[in-house]
Amino acid sequence: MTYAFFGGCKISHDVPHYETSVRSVLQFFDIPLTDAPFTCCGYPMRHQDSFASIFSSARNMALAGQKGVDIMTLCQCCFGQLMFAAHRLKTDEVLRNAVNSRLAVEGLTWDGDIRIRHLLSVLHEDIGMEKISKMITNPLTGVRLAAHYGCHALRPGHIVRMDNPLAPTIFEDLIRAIGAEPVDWGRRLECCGHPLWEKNNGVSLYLMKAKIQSAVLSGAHAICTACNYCQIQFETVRQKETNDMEGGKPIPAILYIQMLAHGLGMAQNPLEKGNRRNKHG
Amino acid sequence: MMIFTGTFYIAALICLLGIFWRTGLWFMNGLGPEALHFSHGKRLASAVGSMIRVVFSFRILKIMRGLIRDIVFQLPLLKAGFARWLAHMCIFYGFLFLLIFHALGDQLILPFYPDYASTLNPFFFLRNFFGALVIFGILMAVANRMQRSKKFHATHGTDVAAFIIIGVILGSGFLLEAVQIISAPMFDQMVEDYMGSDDPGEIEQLKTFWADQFNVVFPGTLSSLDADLNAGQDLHEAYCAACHSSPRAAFVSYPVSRMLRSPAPWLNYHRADIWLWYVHFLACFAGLAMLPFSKFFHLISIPINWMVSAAAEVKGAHRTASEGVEPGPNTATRYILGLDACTHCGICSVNCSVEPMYRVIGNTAILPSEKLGFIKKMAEHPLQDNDFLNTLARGSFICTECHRCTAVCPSGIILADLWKTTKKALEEKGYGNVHSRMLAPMVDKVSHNPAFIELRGKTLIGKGPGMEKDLADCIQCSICSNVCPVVTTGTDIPLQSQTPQQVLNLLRMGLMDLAARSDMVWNCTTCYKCQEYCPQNIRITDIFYELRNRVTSTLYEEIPKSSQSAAHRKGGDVS
Repeated sequence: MTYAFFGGCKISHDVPHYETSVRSVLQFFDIPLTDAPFTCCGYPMRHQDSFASIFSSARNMALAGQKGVDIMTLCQCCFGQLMFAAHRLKTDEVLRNAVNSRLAVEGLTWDGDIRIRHLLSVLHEDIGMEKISKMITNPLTGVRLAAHYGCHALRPGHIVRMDNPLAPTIFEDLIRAIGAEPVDWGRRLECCGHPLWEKNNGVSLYLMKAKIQSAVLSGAHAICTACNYCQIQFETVRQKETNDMEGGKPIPAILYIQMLAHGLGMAQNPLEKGNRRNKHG
Repeated sequence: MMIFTGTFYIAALICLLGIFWRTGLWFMNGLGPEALHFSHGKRLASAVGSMIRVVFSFRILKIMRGLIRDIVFQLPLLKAGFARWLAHMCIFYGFLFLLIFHALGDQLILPFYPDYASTLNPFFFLRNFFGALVIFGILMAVANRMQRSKKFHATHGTDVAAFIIIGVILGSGFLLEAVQIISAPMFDQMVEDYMGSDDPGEIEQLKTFWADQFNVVFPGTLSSLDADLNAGQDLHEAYCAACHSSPRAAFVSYPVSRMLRSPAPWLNYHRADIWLWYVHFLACFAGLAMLPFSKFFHLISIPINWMVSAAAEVKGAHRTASEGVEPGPNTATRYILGLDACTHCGICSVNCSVEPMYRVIGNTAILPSEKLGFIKKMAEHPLQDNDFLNTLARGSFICTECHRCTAVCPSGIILADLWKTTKKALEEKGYGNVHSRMLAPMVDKVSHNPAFIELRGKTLIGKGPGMEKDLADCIQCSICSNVCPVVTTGTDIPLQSQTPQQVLNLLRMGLMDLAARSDMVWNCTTCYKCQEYCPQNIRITDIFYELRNRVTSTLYEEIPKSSQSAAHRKGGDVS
């Protein structure tokens, strides 16, 4: 199964190691990726103009449809947005016609043929726990990780359908597969705060700090993410805005794919400083 | 010759003064908060200081190497597409060599090659070759642009002016040469000046040869005898050939001169060769005078901008933005120089991640190539009216900062920095993103700033049906408020005016405007927990999205697009 790689707006500049790691891990598991001239998924526009945002999503899906491949996103918000738009287009005929008449100008149509997958689902379902565990050469034994799902991949549950929206498990499964131990933590399913960054920084940072404290209390060694926005919030924004974490020792946030790449022996341990942005693997 | 010399000096003076003025603006104008910290003099001094430091360091070697790659071979343009690169290379190098081998032939070629004459080969041929290159490049560029214009209406007066001036220079040049070929009066003048014989018989024989071989059109009839033709050829070789090759080498002008045979007597009588010469050099001098005021200024601004960016070592030469770099006295200067380096080629807009939004919203400030024009205007005249600032803010805050435009800009402008600084400048004026305008402190909201007067004086949500029917099921159980992560901040940050449940209650009462102004609506992270937990399946987060949508369209005074479905605009049916 080939997937069209959907990088979104943030990865190529802000977290380029996310993309390179995903590409090499998927290559390792023989999952081919292809590229298409995708644009913004439409998520940031959803706050401002729902039609424009759905049009942008539909256009991206139509581009993948033209190639006959499913889309794989690395970002919870891209994933949530594309699923949301697909749902709206499926259920609202007037909207669908309006979007398609605009797409027709460049010879595209949205017909809902393709599937939207998030990286976590691809790892969990297409590759599977068994295969991943079998390939792990550097098991991360004793490492406790706090799975950070990200909101838009889980909710609204009846639309995105990645996992149980209130009691998900796939991320924990994936953490076990690399030999690490998932922790149960209070604010596991809450927002990282990034949607409010540069909109209301006070609330944005408060939510981030609350999450980090919760992860620290649970005894995690790191917060494990699978979304560029969450990673940017816990890494870039945090470095820029805060020097220390009140009431606990600071713990890093690591992209799951980098932990996996390390487990597969393709990269240095990202838990050690200096390896966080390791582009190989 | 008086006119020639006179106009040349006038044009050169205008050009120099213009360049002085434009470069001066790099230190005068500012963009964003960084500009205010440093005086013009300090900026100039700092720029000169940095320049000297770079020139006398080893880094200059690296910069020169990059300069050859990006400016001489124009590789960034090649990345944008072969057609664009070819067109631009043809125009640039065609023009450059015309300048060396033709316009400045007497000054540049003669000292090294004493036998230089514009009527000799290879110059006859080269002039046509480079001219043809430029024409080919122009035609290609126009075709490229027309194709793109179907998508963006992104051709400005300045783009057209540039095409016209080059077109007139080249067109008049070729036409001039063709008219000179057929010109009998010019032949007579040359005979008088260079022929070592004034025997009318010999002149007649030479005419026969030139008319037959070189397409000169003489009045009256000439001998058609082979003997005269052969004698003419001998005379040509004796007197003319040393300084005048066959004009057939002019592979563009010569066929044109063949086409001009029938109007030739009229053209010769009226001395079209003189008139066209005026047109040609006046067009050239007009181009020279226009240089600093037109698109052609990029000949100066791009290499300088490129070197400045490279010297500033904005991470990895010029491909990524200077994040986290403290603004210094050179920062604002760099921004203004960057604005000047734009040729309005539109490659950024073709690659823009939010370009599809432009197709729906129709605000040109969404497109980077057009937004840059707005920013330029703001840098020149910081006091802009509400409409202008709203338009620019709308476009600026739709940008997702994906950095694609910066990566593809063939002029090497660090566009991402310009966008970020513009956002900061807009925020300072009160024209931040909709969230920050809605969440602004009361002191701003009651100020005389037009950015907030708008919010105050308007019914934000007047259009469309209310949401009462969607909320009829709400039982006010407060689960939404209890699971909301934003509400938990209330104990530490006294921000919250209402909880989600209270917003819903306002909506139930039909107090739409009050609900839309609630901080809760704008502080919502859209994590969808409330909606997921709601026992009545009310689409709370989607309703918040809808409220934001409606406020945004009122704020920017956008009329809902006719193509948007009624259901989409309809208040409640938002999921």
